[in-house]
Amino acid sequence: MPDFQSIEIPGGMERVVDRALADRTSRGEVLRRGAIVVGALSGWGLVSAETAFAASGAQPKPIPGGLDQNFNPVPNNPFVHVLPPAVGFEMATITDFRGVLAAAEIQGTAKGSDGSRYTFDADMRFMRGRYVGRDGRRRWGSFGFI
Amino acid sequence: MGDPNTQVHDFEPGIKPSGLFWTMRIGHDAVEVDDDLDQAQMHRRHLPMPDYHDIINAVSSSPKTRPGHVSFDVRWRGDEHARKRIRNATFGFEGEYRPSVAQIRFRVSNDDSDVVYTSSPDSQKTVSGGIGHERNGVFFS
Repeated sequence: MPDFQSIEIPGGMERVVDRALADRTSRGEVLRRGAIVVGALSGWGLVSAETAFAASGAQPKPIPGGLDQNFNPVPNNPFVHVLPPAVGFEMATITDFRGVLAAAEIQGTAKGSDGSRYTFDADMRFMRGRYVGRDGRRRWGSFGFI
Repeated sequence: MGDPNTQVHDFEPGIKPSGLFWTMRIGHDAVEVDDDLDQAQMHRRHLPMPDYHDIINAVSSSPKTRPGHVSFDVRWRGDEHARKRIRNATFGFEGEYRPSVAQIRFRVSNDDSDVVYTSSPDSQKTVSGGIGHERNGVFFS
């Protein structure tokens, strides 16, 4: 979903990753963070279904590739399991997938109901089709990258 | 990508313990796409979504979040003159794609605030985008 900010970043994602690494240092620590996120979400009605979904083994697996600490695309062991939303890159974020997808990075402006104004940058994607869940079973599903 | 030092909101579903990045299950009715890859749409209303404030917090090991809700409608329009077949053995995927432009309408808010943020339809820019049929992983051969 939209990131709100007012100016463009010199250095881009590379700088973000550098700061994250300096802050937390290890990919393993970053991945363990996910458990905190799920816990944080579980108190919300609609997302608690997502938590149950994850626990069921029906959750898809991430793509093996992604971006490394220097913002370079790598086919394995990335810092984050995502690549740019552009034709030519792997735009899906789930693996063992066969289906349709759409992806886009969109920039624009937004306004708050209090009169405030912002710029936004939104990376939005979906994947719909057959996939193999973490439990090894073939399934059909629709997933949003939000 | 904006400057995280000036970023004030970052609505996304987080990273799963498996490493699954900002990806969550959505209903089948939230997605529409035609077979020719001419158009696609993804929309949801009033979806619970945490606000990580900025991406540095989001990828840290102990991020702080505020509960929020998002509504969005993203529409893609494929380039009718461009269709690309791609096979990438290094990254293990193949498919047929159309570069596309996209437009988004969104309405987001924090649950602890009365302020609602809405996108402007004017002056939106598609940095990159595409619609495609794809296979990867065990379906890639």
